[in-house]
Amino acid sequence: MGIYIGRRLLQMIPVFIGATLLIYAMVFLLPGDPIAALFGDKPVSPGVAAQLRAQYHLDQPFLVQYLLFLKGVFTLDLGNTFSGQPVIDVMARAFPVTIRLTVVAIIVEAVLGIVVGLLAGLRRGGWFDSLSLFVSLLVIAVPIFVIGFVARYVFAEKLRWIKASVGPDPTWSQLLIPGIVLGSVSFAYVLRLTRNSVAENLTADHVRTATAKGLKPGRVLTVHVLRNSLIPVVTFLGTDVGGLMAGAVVTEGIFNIPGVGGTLYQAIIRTEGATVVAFVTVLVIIYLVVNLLVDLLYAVLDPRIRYV
Amino acid sequence: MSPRDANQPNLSKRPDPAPAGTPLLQVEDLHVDFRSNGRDVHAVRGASLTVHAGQTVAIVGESGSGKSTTAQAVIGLLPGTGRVTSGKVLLDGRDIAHASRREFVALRGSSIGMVPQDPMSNLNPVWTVGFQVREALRANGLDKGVNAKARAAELLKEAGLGDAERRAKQFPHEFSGGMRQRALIAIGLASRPRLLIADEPTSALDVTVQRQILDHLQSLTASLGTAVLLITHDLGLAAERAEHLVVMYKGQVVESGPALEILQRPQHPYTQRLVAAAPSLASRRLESSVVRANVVRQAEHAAVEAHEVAVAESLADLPETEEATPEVIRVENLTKVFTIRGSGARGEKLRAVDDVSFAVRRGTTTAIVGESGSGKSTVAQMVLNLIPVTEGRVLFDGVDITTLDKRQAFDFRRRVQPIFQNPYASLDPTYSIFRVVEEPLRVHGIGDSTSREARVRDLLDKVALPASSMRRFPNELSGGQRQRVAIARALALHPEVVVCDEAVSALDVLVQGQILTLLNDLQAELGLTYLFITHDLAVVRQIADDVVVMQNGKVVEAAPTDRVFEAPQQDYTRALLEAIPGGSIELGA
Amino acid sequence: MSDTSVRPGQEHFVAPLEETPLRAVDAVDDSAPPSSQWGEAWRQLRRRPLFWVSVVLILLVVVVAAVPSLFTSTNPRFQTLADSLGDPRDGHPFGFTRLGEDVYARTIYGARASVVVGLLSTVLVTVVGGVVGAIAGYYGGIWDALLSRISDIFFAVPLVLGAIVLITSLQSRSTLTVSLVLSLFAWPQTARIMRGSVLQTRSAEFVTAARALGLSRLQVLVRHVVPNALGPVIVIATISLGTFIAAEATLSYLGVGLPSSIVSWGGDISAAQTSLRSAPQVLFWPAAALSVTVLSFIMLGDVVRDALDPKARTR
Repeated sequence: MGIYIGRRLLQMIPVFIGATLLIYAMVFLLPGDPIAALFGDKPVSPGVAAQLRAQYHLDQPFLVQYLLFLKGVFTLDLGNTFSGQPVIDVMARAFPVTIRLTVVAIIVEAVLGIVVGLLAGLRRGGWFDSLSLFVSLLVIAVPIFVIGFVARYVFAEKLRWIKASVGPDPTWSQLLIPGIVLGSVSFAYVLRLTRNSVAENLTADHVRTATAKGLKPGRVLTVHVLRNSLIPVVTFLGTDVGGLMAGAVVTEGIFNIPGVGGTLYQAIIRTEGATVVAFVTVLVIIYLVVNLLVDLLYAVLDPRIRYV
Repeated sequence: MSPRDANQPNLSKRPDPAPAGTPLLQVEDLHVDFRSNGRDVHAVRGASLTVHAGQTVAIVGESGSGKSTTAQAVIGLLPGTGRVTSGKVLLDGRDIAHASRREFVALRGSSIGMVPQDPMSNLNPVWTVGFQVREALRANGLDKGVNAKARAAELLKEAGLGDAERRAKQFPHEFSGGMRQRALIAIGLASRPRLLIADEPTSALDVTVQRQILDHLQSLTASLGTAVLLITHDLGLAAERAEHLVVMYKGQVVESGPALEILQRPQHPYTQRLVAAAPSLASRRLESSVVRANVVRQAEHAAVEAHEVAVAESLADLPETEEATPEVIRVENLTKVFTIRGSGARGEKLRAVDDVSFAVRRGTTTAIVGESGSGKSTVAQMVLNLIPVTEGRVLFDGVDITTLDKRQAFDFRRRVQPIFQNPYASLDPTYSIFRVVEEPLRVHGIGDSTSREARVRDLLDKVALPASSMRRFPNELSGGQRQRVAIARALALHPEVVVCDEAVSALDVLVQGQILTLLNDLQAELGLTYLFITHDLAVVRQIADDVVVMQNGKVVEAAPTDRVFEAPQQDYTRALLEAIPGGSIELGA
Repeated sequence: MSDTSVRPGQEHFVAPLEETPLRAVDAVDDSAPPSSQWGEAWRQLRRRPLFWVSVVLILLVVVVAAVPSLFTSTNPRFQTLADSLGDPRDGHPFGFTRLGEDVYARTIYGARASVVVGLLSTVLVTVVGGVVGAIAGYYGGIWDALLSRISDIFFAVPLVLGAIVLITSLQSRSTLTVSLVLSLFAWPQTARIMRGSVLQTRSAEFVTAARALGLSRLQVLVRHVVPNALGPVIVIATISLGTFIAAEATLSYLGVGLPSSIVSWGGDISAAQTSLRSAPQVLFWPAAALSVTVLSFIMLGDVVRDALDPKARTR
């Protein structure tokens, strides 16, 4: 087990380096002058520009820049935004908000997705199954920003249940509707995954054996069908965490939530390289760590998995 | 707990005792339909059978005969769209054919138990074995709470599982197939049902394990007084274990009666064919020795010519041999080591084949026999030059095939062809039958399109497939038909040697008999040499001239077939022979 | 077994012959017409109404994208400020945008950008992901380790996020660059699916049989492995065509996708959000067109999956 984790951590290193290098190159290697962009169309005095370049190591060769950045990651010194705030402080404000939003989304998509998926899988081909499959297709097909608009329009502007603009330091209840919007697409995936998994497990030999033992239908369903069907679902939910946090760009924009998505989006538009790279790096780390945790969780859920 | 005690807990739940002499189970004129693509498919049509208390009754039939469906109807577990359309299922005189879900829940486990077919898929992989046994107890109101653990271990022990207490805490994947089947028997018998449905309970296991488990099941059910409804495709096994046989064919009971009587005096033409085709110890090599000797002589003659041509053409740069050896294949000290888990020098090593030597005479059939894990298929792969050899040599016509260069290896392919086990996987599903059979000709650049088509027709005719099947695709053919296509493909290049890796194991007995006869006729006609890989000694008797018995990667015994069967030298060979179901029964027809 | 006397109900029974016509063992059924695996899938598809609905919708969208002038003679870029957010009227059934452009014409003309980006990205991703996945799965060993790590790297960067970062650094934005950027972050998924599919096919007996015929490894890969491993890739390609269209719209919505000189649904939706309250139809039409297009591709992928995978089929 320990060896397995160690090996997985070792495997993560090239992926981490590769992914951050990729992001770093995309931000700093491509044409375009971040310093010029900082000042928009206004002329910049050469002295100020040079000073700024030195501050962001932009005068160094690319690889040196990257290594300095890596060093910063490990010393938690991620540099400053162009307005002078330490990036780490910006993160400390943004991440808690997004994490809360993600938690709401995960709970919503898990509970709804599993319940609806189970009911659909039990009566495959029935009217409820057809309906839920169609709804899931619809949710997947309608772009999230459209869902977001509609939700904001209905709940904030017509019903006035929530404020259209959430603002800093949101409460859990303020995050409920945005969380549902954020989790809507994943809800559709969870639903479909559960449904297929349940339908498949229903016809499994071991379920027939369990029935032949004389177990009551309810017990067969929970202990044998549902328990086994949840293995791929839980795995999906785990890997979805990273995707949700990154996907919050749109949702946070619509509801004006000052989380990772909003901050990152602003930084991208203003070509604040240091901020962008730092945020994306943290998101990549979260993705990698969550994936490792999911793998470990998978082994807990499914005793057949051995750490090889 | 004595057998009588074991029956006690159920008494309270039983309906009023039926009048004396009432059979435990009576199936009367049972019809079962499935709905498929908007049409009703009649899976069982008017089946009737009777099981008395404490008795073992076997339903025998091929796949699709309706034998499993009949049993599933009895325990109310018809899959998918299946339903009983008419007829009765009387348990203790009470009709349960249309019993409610609740009634079936009450009956299952306590009155009717089940031991399913495939031990690999019938235990839930995420729960411990002990949990799954305890569940069966609790569901039927037996031994709740603290006692349950001890009782579960007891039941596992009773089913023949050693170290039962520790084993109960393990997961199914930590068990071998035989151990899982024992756990399933423990589950099936946990609540002491009076009827146990055993659906092909050992067909997925090696013969020696199969015998042990059936012996154990038999003595256990005898001591508990449990009646057994045994579902099997194996006539020999049925006759050995049951006193009453029910033979089913295409959903109908074609013949039923006392086991020995049916076996020795089958009346219905289908039963007669089944008995005739049943491979058993009593059967013999498929044809007379005079013809055989002739075949061998012809083959050697043909080989001399072929060899001269070969030497002149592509093998000219190889050391010449004086004449064609009677031994077309010679395997010397063959060893294969696989690295399992991990890589490089630190990886765990598995000696799949360990110092194996044998020879195959031209125009004859040599069978390699062994159970799973014996390394027999690995030998076949090395003879076919499909996987590299770790140590030792494979001589084909005197030339070591491990040293062939690219062109020589290509030429070797033309002379040695395989036929594989799984008829459902051995043909490319995207290729038409014509393309499948034509591909070898095309790859080796033989003929033009017209002559190739004529050759494909000819080959299909040889394996008794109509020319109209050329345009069909593998998914439209039955297992036996696909295997015939595979034979046609193998023969397309006029090979000298055909390696048959379990080529008939996946087929129903009648089709199996047909394919064996076909292979045998082709051998006589074309002077082929067969290397036959199989786990089934009964098949060996029908087709092989020489036998190589393998166990754990090593050769245990190698001798002519008759000698192996009549005077086996090794304990393991004897155990294999004894494990053949119905081996001791003299068949009729 | 000791009891030899026959018990009631177990007398020797032989079925009358006429009840069971004994056919020749294992004869070929000549009645049905020949059909390949794909033919079988086609027969499955033909019976599904969803299949026809999605095919008709997709054809419609493709025709609209190819020749928008068939459907409207109004110039989508023509602005009449007097009509800003105007209600629908004769000749302008969907009303006007804030800039006084005809919403109907813009919805029609917006199809092209979506369809082109969707098709282009799908082709790129399927070719690159398919080849990488096939090589990794078939050759295994060092190839697999290397290619799998590389795809892990791209996989670790979320699609939309990576696309935003890269696209803001690019000088020029066009349907081609947007497609390239989306493909860059999307190919690993196809590669993984192809790899898994190839791994499964690689061990099939017909592959071993093909090698025993003397085919080289590459020939076996091209002739036998890839055709049989293609099913799941076709399914994911159909579905991802829909998701690429949605992703392009998301980028345009965020203002980092196609430039405003190209009429696109995403861009129009983005522009419409300011007038959501006063004129919701300005947002509704491009959003509906976008959703229906994405839905048709995802629906098609769904029914194709059912047809290709008998296990998932509804009974």
